[in-house]
Amino acid sequence: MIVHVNTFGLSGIKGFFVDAEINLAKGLPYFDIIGMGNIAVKEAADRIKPAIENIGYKFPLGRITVNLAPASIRKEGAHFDLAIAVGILKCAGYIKSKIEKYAFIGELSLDGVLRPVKGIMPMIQSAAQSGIYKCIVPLENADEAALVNNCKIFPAATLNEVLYITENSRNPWRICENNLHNNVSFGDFIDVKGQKEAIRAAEIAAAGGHNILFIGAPGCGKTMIASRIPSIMPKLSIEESMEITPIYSVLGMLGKEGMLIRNLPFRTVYPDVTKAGLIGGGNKPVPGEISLAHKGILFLDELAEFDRNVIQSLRQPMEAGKVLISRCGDFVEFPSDFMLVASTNPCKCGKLLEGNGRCSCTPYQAKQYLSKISKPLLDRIDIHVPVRQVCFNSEKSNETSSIIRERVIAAREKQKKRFAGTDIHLNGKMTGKQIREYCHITTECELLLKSAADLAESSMRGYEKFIKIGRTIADLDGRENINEEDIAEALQYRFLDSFRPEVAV
Amino acid sequence: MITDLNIIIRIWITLLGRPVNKVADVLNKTYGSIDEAWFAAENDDEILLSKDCFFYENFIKPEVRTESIKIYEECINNNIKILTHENDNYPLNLKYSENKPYLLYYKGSLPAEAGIKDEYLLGVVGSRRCSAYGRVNAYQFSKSLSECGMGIISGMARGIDGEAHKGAIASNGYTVAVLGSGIECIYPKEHVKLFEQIAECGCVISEFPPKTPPLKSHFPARNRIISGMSRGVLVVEATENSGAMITVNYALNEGKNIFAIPGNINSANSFGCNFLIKQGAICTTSYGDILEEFNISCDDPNKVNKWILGLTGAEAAVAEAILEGNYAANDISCVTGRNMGNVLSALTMLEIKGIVTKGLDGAYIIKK
Repeated sequence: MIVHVNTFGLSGIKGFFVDAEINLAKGLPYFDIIGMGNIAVKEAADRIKPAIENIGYKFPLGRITVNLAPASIRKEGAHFDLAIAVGILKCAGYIKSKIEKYAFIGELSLDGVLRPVKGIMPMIQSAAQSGIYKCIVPLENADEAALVNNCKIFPAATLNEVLYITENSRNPWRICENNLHNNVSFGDFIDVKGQKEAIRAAEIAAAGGHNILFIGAPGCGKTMIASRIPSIMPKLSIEESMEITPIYSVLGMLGKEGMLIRNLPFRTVYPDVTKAGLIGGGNKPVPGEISLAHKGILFLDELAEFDRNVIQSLRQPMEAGKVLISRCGDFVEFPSDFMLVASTNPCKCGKLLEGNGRCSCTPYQAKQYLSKISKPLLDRIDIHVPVRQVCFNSEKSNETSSIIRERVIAAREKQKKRFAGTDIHLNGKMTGKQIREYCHITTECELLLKSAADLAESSMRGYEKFIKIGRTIADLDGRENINEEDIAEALQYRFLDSFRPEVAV
Repeated sequence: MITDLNIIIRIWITLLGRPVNKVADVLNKTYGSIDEAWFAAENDDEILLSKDCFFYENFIKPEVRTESIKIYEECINNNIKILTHENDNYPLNLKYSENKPYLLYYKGSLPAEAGIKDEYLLGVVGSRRCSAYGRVNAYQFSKSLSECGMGIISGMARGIDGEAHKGAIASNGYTVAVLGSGIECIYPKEHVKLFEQIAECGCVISEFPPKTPPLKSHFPARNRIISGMSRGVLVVEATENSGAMITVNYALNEGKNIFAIPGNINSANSFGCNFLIKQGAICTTSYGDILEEFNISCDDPNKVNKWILGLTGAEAAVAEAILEGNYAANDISCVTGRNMGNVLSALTMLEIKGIVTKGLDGAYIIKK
């Protein structure tokens, strides 16, 4: 006798349909699971047998073969337990009703209790896509599973309860409304004393999606400012939340409440991060910090201290907005469309910008420090801005984050209109061609850029970046055209272009 | 008449031993003249010089003689001029200083050649690691003073020295850089361009043969020349143990005027200056103080603020805020009460108009 049970597997952050085929044949007792499962899948046999016996059923004698189809895709995890157990119970005749309309996901304990699993949300999403609208999941995963619209979730605490649900009808799980609206408050820019230059730069970065680097002494407020950037970014739309939440789901980071991610992701990464930790990877590929920062902010603290190789690996994902990880011919794709915010000291002791000879580095040390930052990465950071210590009696800012956010949202609306019909929606993402197409500058502006280049005695390396930033400044001001003042201000946001630390000491 | 051979002989003397003046004295006494000494050494005939003499070994070595010829040829090839103490162009102040250099290598034009009188020469010294305050002052004072016809002498080091030269160059003034290395061995490297500029509108001087590396022991000797050439020394910013204080010591021994710019009493960088003022140095709060002391008149002492005319309101406000000592954009915005965008664009425009410049640590300073 053969039984088909619906269940789902995980590949990266996407679920895929798995047809668990259970065949019970006559012969000596034998139990094997095939279909490219890993050790957790193989061990399912030893969990399922005691579980079935411990809830009071007799484990059928005979040759039991379980095939997890499609057999050519690797399967990992213990969440196939429930589907296999249900299939065996069905074969043995303990389940009378039809089970084709249900999907079963869950891990079994030896006494038949259902254990929660990671990545339930993408699996349920995949179920809804493949036309299976009833899912039985462990009780702890109920809230998370219910985040997916148009899918009825029936949570169960034990294997016995699963049998009960299949035999009798029951009302589907209702999601707690709170789970859709959770909002942790970020700090507010009104708490920041002084630092107007950095705050203004942060506003421009947020409005145009420009990557930004803060340079300053330890304790001068770089992290304080960076961590407040989410408070001036537009809030996440439901669609964006639904895109982000599965990433956290496969890492088991949603917690028991299984709340939808409604806060803009803000991921702080320190220099001790590994390459796999940053861009994702591992034996079974899991998303890294850049994917956790999808649609949000990736904050690299102490950029100059990062390992060069680790930083280099950021380039491709930053360009493409997604990262591809290959494993033995298999590959998975994770989204990584984030805004990069970074901070660094200007030199080894950090006091280079504070003046008054407070820096204790030698000129050579000062020069070496910033040159450790990878140039190609620096090229992808539009704005660099110095942050200096504020004196004790500096005035607090008089603008709350919500006022700034309103300007940012208005600027983003303008950009959306401008880029309608293209694949971008922010000034920061413009390519050279798009800059020429969308940013017309007057001859005065061009003259200004030229004299600035003469002044810096350099070729106009950042020429296009200035125009990009100028475009965003004009958008913030609600103007159609970029004027001289915008360009003049933009010229100030490229601190490192004219900064020669070795001479400054 | 000094011929090529005369000069080679004098180079030879400087290579024999130190102090050079003593070497010359001994040879003069023993042989009657240094030229005679050269020929005696060359012909290997009776060595009159006592074997206990401190430079006896170098004296008899033929390599030292070849070396001096090599140095001479190198100077000719690289357009480096050589000045002996007998020359008429030898700076007067230096001539009367104790332990005057026997021979100088230089590029550019000496004060006498450029028509700068010796009493118009001022040494400007200070720390290599200086604050924005010191940097601004070094630049400003040198600029204003050279506009009034004074020549600025300094050591072309990082920090105050470099800014002093730049200030003088900015007003097309005369400036002398005294090096602690040979002229062919520019130190610090980042001042290669500055070196060219100084050689063009002033003079680069060194006591050491062209290929000499910058050794630590050379710098006090260099400071002696800075002090020796000048009529007075302005200390812009100095820590307690700064090399600038060595220059001051030389200057004091020679009875020259010491000017010091007062600074913040809590800043280590100002310690030297404040200490000097306490000891009786002239407290210098404007370049006029120096002109007054030297009895030099300058036509228009109020021309400093002229450039403010012709600026937009925002630019003028920002420039004034910088003049008041606000070096960072944040402070400028606070003081002027203007929003950040406004301040930043004004800064760019001022920079392009050549009125302010970004200091090396990213702070702003007024150029004009």
